[in-house]
Amino acid sequence: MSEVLTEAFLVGLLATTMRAAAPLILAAIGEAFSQTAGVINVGLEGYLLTGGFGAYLGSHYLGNAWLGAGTGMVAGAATALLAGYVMISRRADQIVTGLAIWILSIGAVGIAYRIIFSDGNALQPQRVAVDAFNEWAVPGLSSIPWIGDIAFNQVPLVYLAYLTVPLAVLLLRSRRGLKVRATGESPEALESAGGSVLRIRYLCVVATGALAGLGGAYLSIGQTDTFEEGIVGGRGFIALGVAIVGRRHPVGVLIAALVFALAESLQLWLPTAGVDVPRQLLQMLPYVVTIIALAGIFGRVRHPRAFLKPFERQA
Amino acid sequence: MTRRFGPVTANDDVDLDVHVGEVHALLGENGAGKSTLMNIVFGSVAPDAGTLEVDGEPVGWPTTRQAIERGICMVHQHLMLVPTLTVAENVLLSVMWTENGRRMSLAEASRRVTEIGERHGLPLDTSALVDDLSIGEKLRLEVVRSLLQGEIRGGLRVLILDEPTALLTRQEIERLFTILRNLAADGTAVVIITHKLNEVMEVSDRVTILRDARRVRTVPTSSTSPQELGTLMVGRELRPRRVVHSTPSGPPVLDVLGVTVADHHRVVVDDVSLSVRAGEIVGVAGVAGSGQDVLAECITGLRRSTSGAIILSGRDVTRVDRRDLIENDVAHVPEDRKVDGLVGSASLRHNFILGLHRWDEFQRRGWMRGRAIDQHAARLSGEFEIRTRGIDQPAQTLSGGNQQRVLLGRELHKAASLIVACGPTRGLDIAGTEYVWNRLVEQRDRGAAILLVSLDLDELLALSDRLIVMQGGRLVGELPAGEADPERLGLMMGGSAPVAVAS
Repeated sequence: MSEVLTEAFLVGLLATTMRAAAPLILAAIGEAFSQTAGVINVGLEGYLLTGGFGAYLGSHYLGNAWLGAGTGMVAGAATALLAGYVMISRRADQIVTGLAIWILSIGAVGIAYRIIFSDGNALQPQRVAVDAFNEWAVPGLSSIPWIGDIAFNQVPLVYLAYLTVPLAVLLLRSRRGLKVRATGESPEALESAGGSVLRIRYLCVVATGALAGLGGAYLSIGQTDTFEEGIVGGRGFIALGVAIVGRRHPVGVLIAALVFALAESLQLWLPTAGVDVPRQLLQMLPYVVTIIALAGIFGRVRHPRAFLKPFERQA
Repeated sequence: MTRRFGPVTANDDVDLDVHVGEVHALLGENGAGKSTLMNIVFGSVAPDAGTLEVDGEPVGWPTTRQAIERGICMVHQHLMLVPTLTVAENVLLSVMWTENGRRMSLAEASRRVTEIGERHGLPLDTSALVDDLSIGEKLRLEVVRSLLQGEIRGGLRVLILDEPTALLTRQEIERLFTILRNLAADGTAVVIITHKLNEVMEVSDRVTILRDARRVRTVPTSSTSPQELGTLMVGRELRPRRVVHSTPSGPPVLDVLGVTVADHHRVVVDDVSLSVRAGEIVGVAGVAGSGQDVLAECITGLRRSTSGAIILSGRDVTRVDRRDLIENDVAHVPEDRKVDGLVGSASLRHNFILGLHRWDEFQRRGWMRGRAIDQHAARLSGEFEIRTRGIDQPAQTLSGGNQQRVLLGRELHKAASLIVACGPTRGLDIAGTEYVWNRLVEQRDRGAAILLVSLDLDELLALSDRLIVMQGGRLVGELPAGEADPERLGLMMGGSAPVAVAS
């Protein structure tokens, strides 16, 4: 084992884990709020995809990665708004709506990608490199041995992802956080106190979409400079698991995201360390962890009382 | 004030005036329109017609938020609290701003709750989770929250309480009433919704009686009596509750022979034998959990006994399927109509044939006969005077009394030889109770054997021709109706008078 645990291996593994956790955190932290307010976004995978494509498109036309991140957020938020309209205002089944949104996103992004980047051959869209994010070493911190290489030499979107955690903790403790919890637990009580269940739910869902859109932007113009239809690769569904296993609390989400990200990174790093495990088995790892988590092995998670229940105002 | 829900009118041109400094009782049976009227005032329901004036000024239809801003607060029947938040957080949820437009902080909310609590004798632990509070404390929190709302808006003008006493102990009720009278003395108009006559007499200055969505009368409480109020509420004189008992001579319809039921190695029914004759109501008394509910489940085929036999009209039905039983010989009115009796989300038409759907009348070779089912539902709706928008209405949207009528309608229509009725009037008002009782007596006079399981001694004493008492799974006594009274039954149920009087 001693040859496996070299410095280069550990630093590389942990740095990859830090990166891989970023889109999971971005997608799951908003989702934690949505679920606390009683709404599950099964279409999270779709928000990530439209966000990733939106960011790519934005960066392509505007020529700037930061503007691209912005258009990615708008695309994710717009997808979530559509899902929200169906789930919240039309009171449709949340699971079915989420699946439909996911499939719709795959179709819509696929068509748009082919039309825009076809170059005459719709079956073989042209790969175009766009302005992407570069690593930005945090002055000072990045020269700390080990830690600097692991945590402080990343693209800015990764730092942003980790920044959302303390912000989310503050938000949860604020008055608005109280309203979110009340919305999921007893929507009637919130309404009777003069609040609006619909408003809170829309805010949560659209914010989830915007954050997931940013996560998608990381997947396209954060870790590469191009776009591919399969970039999300199930991370939206993993993020659903992260939100639930993390008990819908920002800190829980952070920890859960790191665990899943570690599973994903091991898949990349174990072969380099000469560990002879079939690659396919390693690729299953994050999904196996998801299933174990959702099956309640890490303890049962109590759902809010109005979880998955549409709200209808009296009369 | 008028409000309709579809073709059902909940409030029909109702007038109400409430004065500063009074406790005003709003009296009426379930479904008389009391809650609807107050929900309009509080802004959670919009009326179809009418005007609302506060301090003599006409105001438009409020939203809940506007109502609160005007100093009108409401304590709902189902308390509007978030159980997973603390006391202070629940207050903060509805009281967002202070007098001078600053944001209220959690610390300030908790300080002011404590302060109001001290001033009015309503102590609360502000850091406790609402889930951990007793019902009385939760109600106290609602009142304190209303008071704080009022304080910030320059005075609580109107406080509405919707059946606040339902789950309180006697002592808690008395304390609540003291608080309400103090509030009124301080200049708040207090409205209390209730259907209990003694509470009206105890706490109110004036009382408005609603019946069938209309106002019957408003009178000063001091000039009326419980009898008069009861008559006004129900619309006719309340008849004495005892019915004429019968002494049947027919053959036994139901024989229970030494039935024992073990549930996870615990004996819950222990060697019970009894029989019920045609044309007889046998009441089963006992404190909750004495095995009477399990016995009823065995007889109606919901559960198998561990040993013993059940004979129905000479046929051994110990191991017979429930389906066979309820399709033919047994009518069952289960205790919890919402869980075991009706399918809440299903329409009346389907609830009326639940369990009877295999009857030839309602299906042919597995295809449902829509027209026959509709006619059946329409006929029973009429016969059992169910207040409904039509047979498409989901059962759960009916009032409790009407749901019970649907259940009775379905079960009594079978004209079964045995009726097992468990707590058939649970949660019903006076008129509803009387209705159910009359129907059961009708069935007895028709010749049905009725086993009545109830926790309500008044009900058992009023209806039963013979009473048996269960305690700890055993049958500990049997009395003819004439020899039973509440004291004697109470002693036997508690196990301190094991006197079995043979009948």
